[in-house]
Amino acid sequence: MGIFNQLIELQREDFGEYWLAWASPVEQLPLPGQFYMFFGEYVKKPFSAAFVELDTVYFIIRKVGPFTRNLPPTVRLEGPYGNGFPMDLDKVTLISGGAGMAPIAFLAQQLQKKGKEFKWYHGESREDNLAVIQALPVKPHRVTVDPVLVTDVLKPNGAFCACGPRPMLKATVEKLGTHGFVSMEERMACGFGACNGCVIPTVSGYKKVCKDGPVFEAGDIAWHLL
Amino acid sequence: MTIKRLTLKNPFIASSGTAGYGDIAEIPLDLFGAVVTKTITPLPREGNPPPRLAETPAGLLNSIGLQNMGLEAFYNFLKTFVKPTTLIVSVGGESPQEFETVIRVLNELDTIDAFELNLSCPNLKAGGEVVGKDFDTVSAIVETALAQTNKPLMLKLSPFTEDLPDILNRWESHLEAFVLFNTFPAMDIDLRTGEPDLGAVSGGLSGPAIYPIVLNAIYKYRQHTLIASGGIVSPSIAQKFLLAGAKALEIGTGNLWNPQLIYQLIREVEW
Repeated sequence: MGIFNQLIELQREDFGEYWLAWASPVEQLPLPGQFYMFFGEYVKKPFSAAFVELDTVYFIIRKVGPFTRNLPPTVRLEGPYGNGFPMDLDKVTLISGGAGMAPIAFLAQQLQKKGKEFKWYHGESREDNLAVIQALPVKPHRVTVDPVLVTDVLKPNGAFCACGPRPMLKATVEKLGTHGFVSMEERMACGFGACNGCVIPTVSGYKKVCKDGPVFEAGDIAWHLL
Repeated sequence: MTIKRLTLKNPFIASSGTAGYGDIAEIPLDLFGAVVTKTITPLPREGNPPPRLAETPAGLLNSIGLQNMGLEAFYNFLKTFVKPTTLIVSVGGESPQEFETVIRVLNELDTIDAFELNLSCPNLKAGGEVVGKDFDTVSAIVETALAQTNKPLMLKLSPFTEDLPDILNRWESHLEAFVLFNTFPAMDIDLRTGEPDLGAVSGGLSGPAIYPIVLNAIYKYRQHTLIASGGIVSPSIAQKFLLAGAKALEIGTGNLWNPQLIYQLIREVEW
């Protein structure tokens, strides 16, 4: 177990639409795809780790609601939770959209450390949102901005790992098939499998994003029900 | 401490739906006076369509839909289960007969210390109305349960149960305790779509948003044997419920938000 309901200071740098935030020291480093629960004033939310440096975990947090816009200077942190991406990947295509860049940036960092080959495509809705990319230790090879979609420029090449809005994930699966992994997002209350609140439909019934995921084989998701 | 025939090492009970089947390792359930399992129904239930959660000020809005493994799988699970503390099984159903089925099968298992009747299960045949909404429907289920078991019985009521004083008076001497309350019926609208935010449209509100309402009921009916449930997310709120007259406390959302809450409760609450 890593951090368990520990009050921790969140350092941050403002990149307009995104915060780059970081917490340290963290004893047990997360795996790419794993997430932490942030507990503020009566609200608890999951955020994927975006990369690590020594004993520091970084997060890329999109300002979408009251909690993320007014990110508190200290939060209670729990994690890392969830399964993470498999780490035996090579010659893999990485696809991210918006805040989905966080777990994919982490995966890219770790794949590069292992000397593995990958090609990373990232899509954003606005040019202004790209500023945070300069803070990443490994940067996407190709970036698109709406109206060009990241899934328009993808080229099929082996397995893929993707995280982003559901329309992007669906388009990815339509274009590349199900030979890959997707990190799914859902609202969570606990983060550790107790509340059954974060389920998504899979080919074998509802599964918990927090405990069975957040990373699923693309073929396991019941895409027609999303 | 005891509540009639039910013995607890402390008044803190992990409430149904927030501690799995008593097998959630992240919550130190062994420190609780008791744990209440997810509600067990005769057949497995897949639960409601997502999204099942919505953010709300000072509360948690959920519509899990009584997702559970069903009676047969739960019976087999319990045969080898080593319980962390006193084990209370929550029982649900859409009719008195379904409550009867669950209790009749489980009653022989010594590992179960008590049953809690969940009267907030929606009766689909009656348009989704809760099964225990008034004196007659509650009484039919309690009579059925009493005929099937001698184990301690608790009754968890919906906050909008009609005839509440009559129900408390009629069944006080037959039951270990009344649990006030289950979640409050609630919903939200997504401003972007103009549509209900939850997949099941309506859900239940828990968390500190509801504690003053529940506290009011506990104080009002404190001559009865009551277990408080609703928004106990801190030692100070827990203390208020005990001062108001509750014999024990069910902790739900508090454990989801802070699985270490029990340490604080044990350290800081006087009981």
